[in-house]
Amino acid sequence: MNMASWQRISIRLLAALLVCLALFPLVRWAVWDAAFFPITPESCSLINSEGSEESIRGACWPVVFDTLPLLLFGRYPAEEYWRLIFAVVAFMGGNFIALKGQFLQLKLTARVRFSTTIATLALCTILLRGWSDIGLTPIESHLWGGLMLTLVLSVIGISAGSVLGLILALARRSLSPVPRILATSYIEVIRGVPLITVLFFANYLLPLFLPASMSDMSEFSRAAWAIVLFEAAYIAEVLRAGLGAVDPGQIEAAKALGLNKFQRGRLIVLPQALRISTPALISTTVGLVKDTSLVAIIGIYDLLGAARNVPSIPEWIGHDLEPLLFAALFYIFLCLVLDQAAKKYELRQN
Amino acid sequence: MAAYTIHLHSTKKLGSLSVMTRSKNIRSMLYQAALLVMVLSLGSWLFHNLQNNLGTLGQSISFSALSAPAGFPISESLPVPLPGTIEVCLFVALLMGIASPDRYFRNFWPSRLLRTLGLLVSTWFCLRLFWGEWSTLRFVTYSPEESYILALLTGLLNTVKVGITGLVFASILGFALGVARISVIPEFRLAAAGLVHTLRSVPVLLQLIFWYVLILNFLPRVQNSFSFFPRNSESSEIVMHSIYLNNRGLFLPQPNIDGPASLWIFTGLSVVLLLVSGFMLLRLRNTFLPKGKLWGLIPFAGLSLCGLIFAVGSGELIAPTWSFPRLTFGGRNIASDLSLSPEYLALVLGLGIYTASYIAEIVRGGILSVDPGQKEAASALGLSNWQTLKLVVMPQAWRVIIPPLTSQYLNLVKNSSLAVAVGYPDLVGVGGTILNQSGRSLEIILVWMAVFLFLSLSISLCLNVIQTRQKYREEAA
Repeated sequence: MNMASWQRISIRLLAALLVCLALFPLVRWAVWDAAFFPITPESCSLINSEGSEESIRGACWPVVFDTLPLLLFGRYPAEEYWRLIFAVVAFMGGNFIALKGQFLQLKLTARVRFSTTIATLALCTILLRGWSDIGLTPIESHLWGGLMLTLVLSVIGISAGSVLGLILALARRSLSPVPRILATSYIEVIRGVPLITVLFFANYLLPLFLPASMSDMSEFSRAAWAIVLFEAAYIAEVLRAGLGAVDPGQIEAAKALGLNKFQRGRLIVLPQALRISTPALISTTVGLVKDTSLVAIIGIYDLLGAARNVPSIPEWIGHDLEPLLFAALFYIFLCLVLDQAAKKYELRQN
Repeated sequence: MAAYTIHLHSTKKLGSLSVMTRSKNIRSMLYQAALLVMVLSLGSWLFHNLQNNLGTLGQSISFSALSAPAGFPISESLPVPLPGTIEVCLFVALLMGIASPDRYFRNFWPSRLLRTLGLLVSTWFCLRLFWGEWSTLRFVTYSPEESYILALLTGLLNTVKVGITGLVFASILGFALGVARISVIPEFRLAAAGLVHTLRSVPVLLQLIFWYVLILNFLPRVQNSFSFFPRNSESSEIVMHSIYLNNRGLFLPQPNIDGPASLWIFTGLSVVLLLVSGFMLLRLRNTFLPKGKLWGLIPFAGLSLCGLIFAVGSGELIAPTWSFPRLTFGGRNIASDLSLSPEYLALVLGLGIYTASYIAEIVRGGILSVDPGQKEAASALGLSNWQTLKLVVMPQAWRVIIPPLTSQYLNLVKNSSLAVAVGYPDLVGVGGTILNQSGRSLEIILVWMAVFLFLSLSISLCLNVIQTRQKYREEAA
């Protein structure tokens, strides 16, 4: 920069001052003027000089502490929370073994890793839904909610969406016109409409398109269908790019080795395509986690839905902003973790 | 191995069609036929179920049900322009003239003709608007007696309104943030990076609700509004201002338009077209028109100019008077001709800021993609930082920026459907009301999807046209 040093220092000081000025009201509201404890509605109001009650100027954090179970677990029965915590631990543990088994001195084949992931998902499903045969009380999906529902929808979206997306991507790259045209039109139509219309479609029309015996789906499963059908189109595009980026020399070499079409796909093309598209898949997952918040519009209490529902609790009427900001913190945390994972993966690749 | 050789030969079309490939072709066709039959039977099964289920509900699929009177009010309704057949034809001709596919027909005479015709036709379109008595264009303002279709059109107009203002706001803010992210001042870099990362991680729906809550709860009530530009008031008790901001929205002065409205629209269009043609002549000589075809602009500009002179000369354009927001009931209520509702403000702020955080990253990436040697060369030539950015870096960065930028614009338009969460009557909001009131879920959802598909496809078509032309310009250079 061709500027004298005093100019430089004064500009930097001015910039720092501007940033601090912008942050000051936020910090004053969230920390300085805010109420934290005790967790009662009274701590959020003070008696003014005229002897009447008025609410404090800052944030009222007791509302968040008091409704924490609602924000995290929805209306899931409190005595069954251990199942959720156990499911989270099982999910993380199972996937750690499947993806990072080498840290535990485990040498696992791809098949074992894959079955570990499937088994983990099955275990989590059993834990969440319950199974009366083994003594776990079944818990209906309309009682699910909060952060837990956001995570469940995201996991369903990414896992089922990847399977459907892979089929769509392969079909779109096919040389035969019928699967290519079908897949292309599906992908382009879905990518051209907003998720909210797909959610409305699943909520209102999916039961109409199914025979009466199948149409009594829960709201949760309709939302999950919408998210899977929607995200599959986006994942398909990511995977298609990955499949296209595999070096053609690899396929020719596989042909020269005498591998047939399925062997080439399974052993040579897919592993490399998945490796190439992993960072993009992670950023699609970030989008997916954020997109699940839209189910709040069709009346499902996910993290955002629960946060919007808090001000309707009689003792916390009027406190809209605090639960929203709290929910935002969770989303920021989730996205930060995923972003870091993508960055790390990319660094390791290079 | 032998089979493989035969396959290779057949793909290179050296020998005659081998038995192997023929059987492969037949097999592939059989697979495709089976797939087609599966998909078709799935489709017919779904349709059959739909008819059964609608039958038990006592309904049938009919779009004509949407012409029934709506009966509910819409809080924000712009007058909907309803074009006659002639206007529709002219508009289609104009679109064809603009979007004629260069890739195949660049030097093909019908294409040139079409483009010139497009320009002439657009001028004619303006003239028709100007001659009010010729025009079949009508403006209809929604009221509860009007049909569901007009309600949907009003909603669509609201979507377009939010879309356009949101795009402008997001572009300006996104560009500023993107430049701040690579600023030479570390404090700005840090602040912009923090802001961008935070905004990108929070769902857009949450941000919309956040801004809505903020406007409703944290802006003052009417009595204590933020007010700007005091003016002399007729009643001396309260000092009147020109602009008010409170939790009921932003209240602005509105120019009163005298004379026929179509005249004002025509004049506005003429001015815009004149500016555009001047700009094209000066700066974008080869972007929109092929080289040497500048004469195509002359009738275009000339006719607009004539129309403008005529419109001003006929004395029907009178300088507008302003109608200001008025405080009533001793300052406890406010009335205004032009106001922006809290829902609209929240929507534009939320969508704009969210999209801006993505645009910032795109702009940053575009600028960083330019060879640093270019910047060094520019500063060696003695250009200032701003000049370097404007004259050297940005022209090269645009090429990288435009495709992802368009997809962000598309996202903004699609995300505007979340307006329903803050109660803004956009296409989805109005459609939702109709859906609940009439139970016509299938028709409404199909209309939504068709409209959004049309918007998405037309925006990507525009992008493709721009990209193709740019490619030709680069090839020609």
